[in-house]
Amino acid sequence: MATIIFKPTEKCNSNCIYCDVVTRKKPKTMSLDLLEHIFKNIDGYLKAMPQEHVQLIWHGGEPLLLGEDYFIKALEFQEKHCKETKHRVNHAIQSNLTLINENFLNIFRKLGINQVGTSFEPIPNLRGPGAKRDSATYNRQFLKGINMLEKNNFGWGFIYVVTKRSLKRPLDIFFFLSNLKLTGGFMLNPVLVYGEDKENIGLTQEEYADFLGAIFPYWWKHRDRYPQVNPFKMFVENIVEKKITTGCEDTGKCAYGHVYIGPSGEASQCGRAGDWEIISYGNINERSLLEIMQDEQREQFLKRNDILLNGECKGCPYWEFCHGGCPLDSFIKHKNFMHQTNRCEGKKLFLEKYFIPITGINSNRCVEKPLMSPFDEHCRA
Amino acid sequence: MRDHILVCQFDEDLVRKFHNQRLVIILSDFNQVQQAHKLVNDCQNNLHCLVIDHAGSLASVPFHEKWRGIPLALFVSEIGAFKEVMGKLPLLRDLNIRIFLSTDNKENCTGLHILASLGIDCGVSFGEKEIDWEAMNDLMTYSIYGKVNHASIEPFQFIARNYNPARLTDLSSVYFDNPYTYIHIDKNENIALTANDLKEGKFILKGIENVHKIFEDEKYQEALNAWQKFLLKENGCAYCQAWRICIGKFSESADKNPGCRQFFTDLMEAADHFISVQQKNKRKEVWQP
Repeated sequence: MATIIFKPTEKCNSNCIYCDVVTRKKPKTMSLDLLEHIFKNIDGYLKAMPQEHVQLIWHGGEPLLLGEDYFIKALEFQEKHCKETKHRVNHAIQSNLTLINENFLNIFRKLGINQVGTSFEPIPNLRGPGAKRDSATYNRQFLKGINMLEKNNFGWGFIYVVTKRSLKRPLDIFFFLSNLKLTGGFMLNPVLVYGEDKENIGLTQEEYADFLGAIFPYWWKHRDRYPQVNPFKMFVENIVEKKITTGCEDTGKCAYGHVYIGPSGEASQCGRAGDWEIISYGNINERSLLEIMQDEQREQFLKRNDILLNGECKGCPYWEFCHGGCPLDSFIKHKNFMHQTNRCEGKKLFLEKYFIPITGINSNRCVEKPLMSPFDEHCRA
Repeated sequence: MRDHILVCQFDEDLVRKFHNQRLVIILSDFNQVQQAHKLVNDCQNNLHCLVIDHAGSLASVPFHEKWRGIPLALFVSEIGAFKEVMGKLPLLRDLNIRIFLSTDNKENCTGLHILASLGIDCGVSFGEKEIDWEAMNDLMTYSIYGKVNHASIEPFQFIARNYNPARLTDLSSVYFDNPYTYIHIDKNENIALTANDLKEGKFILKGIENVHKIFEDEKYQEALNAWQKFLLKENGCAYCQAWRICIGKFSESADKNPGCRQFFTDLMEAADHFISVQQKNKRKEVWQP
């Protein structure tokens, strides 16, 4: 599965404190010509890779600012250019839900979207429009959006971004989030700060581990009540059921699986790499999606697994949890991708200080075989 | 989408207008019990319950043999003279009745304990005075965990029976006041979502023939999502782990009397326990000849 983090617009109606896109002075939006060109490329890629599927994740900015007609056009382009391959294109969307309406949902259904990813923040004035981040208005609109999704039988899940402001009351925040979505269905992610931390929201790895650790004993005791809370559920599945259910940054498999396409057609490894302009695969106006997916720079991400396994991560019992972490985090610290990241420390800390003592479950996962590129002949066969 | 149960004061003309309707009828007099029951049946309606709010004690209620089989919810101020109640006990045990005692009288927690232990289904009626949450917790513990045979005490049994971690559990149903199940109508056919709304003239529709249109009404949809207002408050009830079973019912008194948090947390634990016991005791179902 090739995952395209597709960012047709950088415009957003919210000014979230932890977002890198809102800092753009002139947010760009993709032209319809380029949108059409992308669907031609998806078709070309899928025809060249008959075993492959493409997941197109609509991202932003706020993708609903594109308007309903934009999505109708996308559907038309898909129908026109992907006649034989459209059954291998899956759409997904990440939205703040404040603009959602029935018309959008009707188009989403036609695109095969039946659930929406979003994010939420109960602490006031961290998310919301305007310089003061009017969270009251934002949250009212958000709840209306949720009601509309549920009324139309759309699923939804959300991300909560843990910041320094969250640290005072982890359990209260957990209760709030689990009251917002009763079975869980959310992910507690640490804030990612690239460059100067102007808002003083960044976390140390220990702070993030302690935040999770403050919630984990309660969650573990009541996990039947809140089955879908991550990263806890992921950790349990990873250890007990031997599933690899970690997020993209921890799989060690992103090398040939992900691509970012921005509003001008610029291509990068993933959303973060694109937002932070860390790595460039050129532009889809000049290179095909197949060429971008096969860019030789990707090989370094694959090699990274071997390098880490034989180096910094050698003998680490938690390798399967993080695979050295996201290469971009390594880049932030070391200016190259070939090191483990400090987020490994956070995971290790959480596992050793909280998870293992509380659950009594120990990690005993063996190291898997080194990965291969899906473009290798024998792998394709 | 199932039809609502209509709640109204006993008014013969109004009841005659209903047909094939599930009804909760609020009576003002014990003499109306048989009359209301007969009228509801004669008009081919389904009597869900008759409600009587009696200002006096249980001991002063003139129970009647002919009340047998009639579903009754009786709200009384206290048990009263116990000797009197004991004399009526055989009949009381036979009636299809639930007796509610108010939290405004501190003795009533003990009263409910006694009634349940005598095999009489009963319930807490939350009053206006400060609630003794510790006493409430003792009563709940007896109701859910007590191993000696006893009758049910509401709303504890309701929460335990209906609790589902994947959705909100609204104890207002015990008091016929949950717009998901009950709507309220007066003799002029004004329709409101709660008893209080009806009292305050906050109607959303008019006319019995329009009852089925309620699902399309925007105010109705808003009422069903009214719980979300707690998610918009900065430090409100939505930060409490037990909010999913109280839905902020005691939010106005929670600052002064925060015992509700511990009580509902313990009730939620009890509901979890109730579910696990039920699952453990679930018998394998085999085909029957």
